Amino acid sequence: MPLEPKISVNEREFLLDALRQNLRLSGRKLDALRPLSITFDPDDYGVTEVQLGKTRIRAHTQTTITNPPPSRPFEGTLTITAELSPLTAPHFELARPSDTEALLSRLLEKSIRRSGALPVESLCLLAGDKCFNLRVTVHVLAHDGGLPTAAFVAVLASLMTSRVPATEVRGGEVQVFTAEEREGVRLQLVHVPIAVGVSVFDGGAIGVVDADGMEEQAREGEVVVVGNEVGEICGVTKWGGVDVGAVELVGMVEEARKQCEGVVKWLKGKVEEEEKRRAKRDHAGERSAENQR
Amino acid sequence: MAYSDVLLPGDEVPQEQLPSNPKKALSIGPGLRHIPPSTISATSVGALNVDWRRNAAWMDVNGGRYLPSTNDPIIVRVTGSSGEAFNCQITPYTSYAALPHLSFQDATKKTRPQLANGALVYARIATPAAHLLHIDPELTCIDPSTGKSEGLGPLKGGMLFKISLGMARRLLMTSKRAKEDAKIIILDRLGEKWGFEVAVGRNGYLWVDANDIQRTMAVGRAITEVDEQGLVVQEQEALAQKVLKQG
Repeated sequence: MPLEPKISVNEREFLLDALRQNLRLSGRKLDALRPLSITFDPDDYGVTEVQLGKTRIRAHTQTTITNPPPSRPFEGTLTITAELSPLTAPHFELARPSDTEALLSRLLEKSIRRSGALPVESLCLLAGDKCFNLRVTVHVLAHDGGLPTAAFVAVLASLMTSRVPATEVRGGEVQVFTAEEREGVRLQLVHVPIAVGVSVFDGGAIGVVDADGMEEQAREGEVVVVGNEVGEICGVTKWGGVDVGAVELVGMVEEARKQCEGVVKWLKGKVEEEEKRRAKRDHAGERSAENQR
Repeated sequence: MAYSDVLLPGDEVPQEQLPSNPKKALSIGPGLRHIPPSTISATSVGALNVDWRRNAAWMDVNGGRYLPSTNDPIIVRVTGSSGEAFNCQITPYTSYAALPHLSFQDATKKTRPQLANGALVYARIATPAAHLLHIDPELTCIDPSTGKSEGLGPLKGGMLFKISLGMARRLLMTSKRAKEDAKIIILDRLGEKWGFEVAVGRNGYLWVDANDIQRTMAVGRAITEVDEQGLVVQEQEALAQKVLKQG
């Protein structure tokens, strides 16, 4: 089994010394994210690719119609699967999930699905009988740190641009229309949570936003903050590592919260831009139901 | 980079571009193939390089993975010590190379360097891997002709930067032999004003130590920029001016 390449002592010490002088190897400020970019599949709905520095993540949403779970007859289902495969780096194996993968999928699950970002009631078609099952698959194409941020942006962008087929219920029968018959329906998200990680160095004294791969190897802990567009904190996670004092922690969370707000605003702008482009291409104005007949 | 003679696989090398020293046999290096009686054709994409004095021709390709070959200076990371040698990693995901405890200058069993896990060493390849015999490469920090270290040995402090294999080769090539558009002058320009140490590993690593974090970073970043953007000599001059002004 190939081992993950570790950084050398020299690099670790240099990074730490530099951080003590408020310097980062990339030339970024301690509280700056790497440049984010997003591309949407021009022909398909809900397929996005996000690039954060050298980290690249692709997400896509698939919709199927199933029976709702008996315990929750009025709800549809949303599943998010994140897998790190040898495609990402040779030391990730499919059969043996790594910690990185477990933590990533747990975070996505917790902060998107369980926080109710997408009201699953809206996915119900016929109580106890038919519902939509949304499945978001996350592929990490390149891993250079900052997986949570990139994965959240990818998943939410995918959900925001995906469509569920238009349906009609008549006398207990569900009729599903194809995209040609009737345009699909956009999902209604309650809020858009985004994760930003603050990596902890120097025994908890230094907090660094959006660590890259090398910084992630040298760090002593991480605080992941999930925030949304209105500046609410949806979740704070710290998986082990060094202790962080209360005052420092509050500072880090506040810093990350601000970053989350910025990312969500940027993402919403990008999604709207994409929707406008699609509407123009598909001549949505001419087909609108509001038009004179 | 503006190369004048880029060849594609299968392209025939024109006779007039090959060196024609009547006294020596023509030696062809990687990327070229001899098809008898007298055709030389390219087997990979790249730029044709010729050495008229040594009557040699080879293709220069900036890509692929590093394959250890004898006498290459490389920067390795110590991953552990077993018996009589340190285990060293040359490139990620490849088997370890052995660096014997006694292959440092003036090393005896008592005075051998104590290298921790993760230490960096500038070493030379004594014997490359022999895959069929399952022998891993062996490294040394001694020049066999003088018995001295000749600059090889443990690297203390500083910072490691990743560079492309082509860049590493260009940095190690003396500027006299390099083609005009492959010359690297940025280190000379920065070295005129600043004092710093560098070590170039043919396995795609550059170690820089300027005894100052900002300067070490500036030198490393400048080289990485030259590498990634393929800056030619004039652009390197401009970059050096910019870097010196900021630092």
